Amino acid sequence: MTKVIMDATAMQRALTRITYEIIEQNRGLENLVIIGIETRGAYLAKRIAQQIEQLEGSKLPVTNLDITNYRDDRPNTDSTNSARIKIPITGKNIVLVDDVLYTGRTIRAALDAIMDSGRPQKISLAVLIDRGHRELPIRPDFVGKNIPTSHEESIKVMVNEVDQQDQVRLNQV
Amino acid sequence: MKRYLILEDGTVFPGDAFGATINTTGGLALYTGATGYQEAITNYSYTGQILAFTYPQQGSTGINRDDYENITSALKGVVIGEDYNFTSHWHAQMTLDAFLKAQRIPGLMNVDVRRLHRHIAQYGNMKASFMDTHDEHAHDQIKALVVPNNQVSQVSTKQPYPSPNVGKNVVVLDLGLKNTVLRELSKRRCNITVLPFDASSALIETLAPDGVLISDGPGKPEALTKTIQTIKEIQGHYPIFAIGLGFAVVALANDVSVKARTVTQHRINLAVQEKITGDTDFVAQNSAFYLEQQDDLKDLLPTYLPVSAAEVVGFRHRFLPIYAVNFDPEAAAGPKDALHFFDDFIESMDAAIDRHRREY
Repeated sequence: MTKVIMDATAMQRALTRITYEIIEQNRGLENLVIIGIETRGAYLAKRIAQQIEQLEGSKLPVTNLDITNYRDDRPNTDSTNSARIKIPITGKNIVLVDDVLYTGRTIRAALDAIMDSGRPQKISLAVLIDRGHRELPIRPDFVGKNIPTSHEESIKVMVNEVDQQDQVRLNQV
Repeated sequence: MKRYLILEDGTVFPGDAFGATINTTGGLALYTGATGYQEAITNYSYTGQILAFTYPQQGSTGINRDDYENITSALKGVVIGEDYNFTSHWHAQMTLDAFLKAQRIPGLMNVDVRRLHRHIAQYGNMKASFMDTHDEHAHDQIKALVVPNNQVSQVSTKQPYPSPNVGKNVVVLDLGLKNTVLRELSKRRCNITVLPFDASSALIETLAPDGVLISDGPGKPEALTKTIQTIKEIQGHYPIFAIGLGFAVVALANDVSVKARTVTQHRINLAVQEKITGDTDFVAQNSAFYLEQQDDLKDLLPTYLPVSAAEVVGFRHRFLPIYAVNFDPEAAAGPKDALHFFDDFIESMDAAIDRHRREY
């Protein structure tokens, strides 16, 4: 059974609020870097950066992060273990963006990947959906919506750029 | 009975009396909406004013039990073009005439409201009076009228009162509150405490609210020194959502000055654009003060701009959870495009509660 828990308007409102909260919590945006975790998180990160630009007139550095090599549930195929962050991050204030926060393992991998590329001053976490069930001591700083779920359920965030629509679905097995 | 609307500059508009047959004086306000006279007449934003409806026909749907924005009206007079003076609307409980009589508010009908509108648009806000004659004495009287400066204290609640519900705790600072603001919060399960406009920050702290709403109201924001002081003391501690006069007061509390309009705006068709998304909402507006885009807004971040003027109609504080709009998102009357502001307020309270929990 599938239930739509956020439509396009609700998604936009949540992202807008996250953008405002990022501005509110970070005095001055000069040091800010936005990093989106591939695939959906990268598009959300771009949208947040665009919104800040729309509001402040200044362009923020925004980039994607592929965490495949840092995952703990599959063997590392790339011996170099290099993260592919293309912009300098040392001393920066990073906002890491992902679509769904669940066990926290993806974020752990992303943190390792970031740490391999430099030493940021601060990393905060923005997620569109927090569905609970953490297996690591990780918590978000900016949340679009808290959705209490069971392990049997799955959350699917769809974005226009790849899924041809903005929607968040809850699938019950 | 023939009566006259006399403006401060000596212009006279003849009309026929309805409602209560008493003479009156007050500032003149023009409402341009075609609908919503009951909401406007019971809206305390017009306290002490003579309200003129520029849409030619009013009164056709009578007065019903659902559209009161307050139990009473704080108007000094009502000016309309044509009155039906009967109503066949299924919802109506009495005619506009009967309501005004019961409230002891004088009315003037068969006035050339379009000429009146053009006159005010050209010469700006004016004081006005309803008189039986339009001799020199009547003119002198209106010129000498001093409009009081304490409209908010006239209509703000004298005692705190609760509007109980189960859910978030919200404090509403009543500067001339509309029922619909409470209704929208109630729909979203807020347990509300309404406080007088001059409530202290200590009292608010005692109530430990999840958020504070500062309502719209009448008069000049500069006069509300107590409210400004309270906002200075509480901002940053709770998410604050401010509407209309609240917008102006929050700006002043952040050392940003607001300008008085030469023609106050009372309409239900203002197009405002959200800067961040480009989305447009049509909203109701009752506004005597405005912020200019070119002004030094200090720590305030413009979020909503009207499509047709160089004003700022929405801002947020750059570092603190404060959001303010210079229009009426609750509508009543008007389009309901902007009701999402109440959802945003709820979500901001959620986020603040979340953040607070994480700090422990």
